[in-house]
Amino acid sequence: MSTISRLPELVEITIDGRPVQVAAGTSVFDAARMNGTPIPTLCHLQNEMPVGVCRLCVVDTGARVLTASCVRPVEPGMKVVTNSEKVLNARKTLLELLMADHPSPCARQEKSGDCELETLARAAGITQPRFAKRTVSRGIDDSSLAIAVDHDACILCDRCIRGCDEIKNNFVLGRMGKGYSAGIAFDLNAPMGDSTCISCGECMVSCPTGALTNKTLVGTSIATGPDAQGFEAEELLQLPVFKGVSGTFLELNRGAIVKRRFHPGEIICREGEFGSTAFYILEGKARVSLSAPMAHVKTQGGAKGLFKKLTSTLAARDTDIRAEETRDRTIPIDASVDLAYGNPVAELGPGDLFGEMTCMNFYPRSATVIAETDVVAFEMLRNVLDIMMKNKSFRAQIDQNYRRRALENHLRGVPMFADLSPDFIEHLKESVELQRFAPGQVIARQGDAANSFYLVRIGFVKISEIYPGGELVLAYLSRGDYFGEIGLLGGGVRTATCTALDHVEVVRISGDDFRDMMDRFPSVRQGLEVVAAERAAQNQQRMQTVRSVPIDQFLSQGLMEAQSLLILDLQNCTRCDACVNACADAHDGITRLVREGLRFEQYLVATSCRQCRDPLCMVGCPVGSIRRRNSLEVIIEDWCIGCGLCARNCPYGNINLHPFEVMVEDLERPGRKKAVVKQKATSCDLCTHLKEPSCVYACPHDAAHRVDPRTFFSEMLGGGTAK
Amino acid sequence: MTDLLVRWTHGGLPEKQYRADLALIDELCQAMSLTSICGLGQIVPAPVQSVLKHFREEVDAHVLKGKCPSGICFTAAARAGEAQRVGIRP
Repeated sequence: MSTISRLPELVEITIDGRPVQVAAGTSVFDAARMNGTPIPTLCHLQNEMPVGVCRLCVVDTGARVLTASCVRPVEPGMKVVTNSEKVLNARKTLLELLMADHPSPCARQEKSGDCELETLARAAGITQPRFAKRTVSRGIDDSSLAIAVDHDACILCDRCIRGCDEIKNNFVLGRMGKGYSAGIAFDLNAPMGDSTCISCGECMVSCPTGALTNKTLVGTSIATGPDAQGFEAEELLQLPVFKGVSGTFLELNRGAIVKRRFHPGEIICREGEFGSTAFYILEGKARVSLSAPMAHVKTQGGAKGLFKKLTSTLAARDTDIRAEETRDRTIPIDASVDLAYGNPVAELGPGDLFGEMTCMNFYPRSATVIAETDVVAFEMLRNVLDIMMKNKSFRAQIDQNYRRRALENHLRGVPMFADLSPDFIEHLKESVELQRFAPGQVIARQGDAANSFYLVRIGFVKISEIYPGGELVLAYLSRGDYFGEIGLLGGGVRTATCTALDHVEVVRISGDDFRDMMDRFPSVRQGLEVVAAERAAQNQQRMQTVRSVPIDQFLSQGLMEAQSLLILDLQNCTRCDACVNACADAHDGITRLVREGLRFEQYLVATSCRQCRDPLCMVGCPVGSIRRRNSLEVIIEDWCIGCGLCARNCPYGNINLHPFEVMVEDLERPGRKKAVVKQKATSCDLCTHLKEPSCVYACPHDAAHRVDPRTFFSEMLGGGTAK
Repeated sequence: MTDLLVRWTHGGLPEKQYRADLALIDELCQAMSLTSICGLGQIVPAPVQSVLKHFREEVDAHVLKGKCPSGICFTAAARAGEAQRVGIRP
């Protein structure tokens, strides 16, 4: 079966005599841009819907009149001329008309020298417009604390209006007036400071001229240290990655981006640290690695009891491999590469961006990055990263890096996809789409038609189902996880709602490609079908129980969310602490159970992992080491970097960090080792290596039980309505 | 365009200025008819272009010499009526 037929249809057109092929539906403007013939424009921004009002991007397509290329889709056989005298003259006249009314130099030209209108006019050789100047001023609006408005500099391109409405959904900006008095207006033409404007700055960032400029109020600056170099807006605008970024924005944020130089061996960032910046490598190479020793908190079984030493150790990884870990796996980190489980080291080079998750979502750093050669990198705060991401060519470059380096690992990291052939992965590299979602945005809604399959690349996705009376969280998915297969394999309808919890980036595989994959690789299909059936059955079961259990104080104690509770029957319990000792014995002297907690009737719900259905602890783990496999228990994998986020996230205090003394390579002095204290998170693992949990086994009075709260409490709560 | 044309109706424009204006009006007409977003905008220059094409001598006489070959303009009555219509003070 050919896969080419499913790719977007290609259209052949001629641009200035040069034949080019572009996907159907592309605008003439984009087609020219992608083929190295940029067309000037004032009203078109890459991240906004084109409207074609400035008319500067007109091209000759052989029709009666010229065509605005930003709103004109390509047609087969179209002959586009972007630079004939007719076109250039028309553009020049338009610029001259605009310049006649432009207060030159405008505020933006004065401050950062990048007024788009004045730049274009200068390029066209317009110095003294021959048309009469505007006689009636539209005035200035100085009422906002953050943004200065000069209505006279406004060219009515509507970029600010689209930014306010389409991008930020604030709907404050609009148009007012007709003819010479036409202009932008806040609310019903209120002064900006009195309007419902929240000063988000999107309009200012969108504005091509000095109509909306920043009033510098506070300076942000991350330029600390001797090797940091701050920038003036003019310098930044020279760099290709900032092409098309508003100078007034860069001026406001000039402290939010610095250029840093790192010497070989210097640490750029450390795993587990908190931060708020992302790095973009300009020159040099850096090594990214996990230094948390690849080792388990060693479990030896409860048998040796008395004579065991009470200090615990981390067993080296190769001496204690968990059975389920033998297959190849990759560890997701906050960069365009994944790390191999056996050898968690990778290299980053020029053009790589890392620290994106830390920057956007304020998670701890997921890995340590050390300069290998002399490295020159940008360090930037979130607003700068955000604006860079709006630049299509920059995005395309980042996406390309991901496709090239991480997608394959990402796919192969999912066990079911291990059988995909290299050529199919090559095909996917070209055809997948990277999509971003803002916090709270719905990726797929229950009941909608299912037409794509998603892999999570960055951030966390909440999968929830609507049931009578509320919403039930089925899972939190993080990098490396996937969703959307149930809808595609089943009836083609989404069975659950998938919502972005934070800044989420997903890899979207189209339904066609997915079905193609199913057809070509029956083993993948089988695997997915098994998982999908399991997931569906589990969900079904949950819905049943939800319907049958009375929801009163049970809910208020959060017990509803638990799948397995350690309860102690206080009528039988003699407080002998045998359960706690047994737990410590089973886990090398570290108990994962505290015999205290909330009470429910005669039962004490001990402080021990409840294996929540809604595991809040999993949200935010920067390396995805706390997770649930296809079983009940929440597992902390051994590449935990000890950042402590899960422990803070657990509402019940059931996850604890324990210090272990280990020898690790000294990053400051390569080749030498030093003793450090490494934290690792621990929580109840249900003693999966034993038949039943040690605490339950050890209780001499039959007071400790691991139970499913819904079945256990249902008789007590609601007169035996549980099924 | 209105600004330019209204200036012409006063008559007595220096020839150099008139030539410059003609070139500018021609450019403007081209740009408007080629690039307007709306069909009405594309047709706006048509009457001006048509007058300049078919009645060029009359326009020349009006603008340069302030004379009306047909004897209609520059009378007191015409000036009053015209002034009202295009918004110039007589």
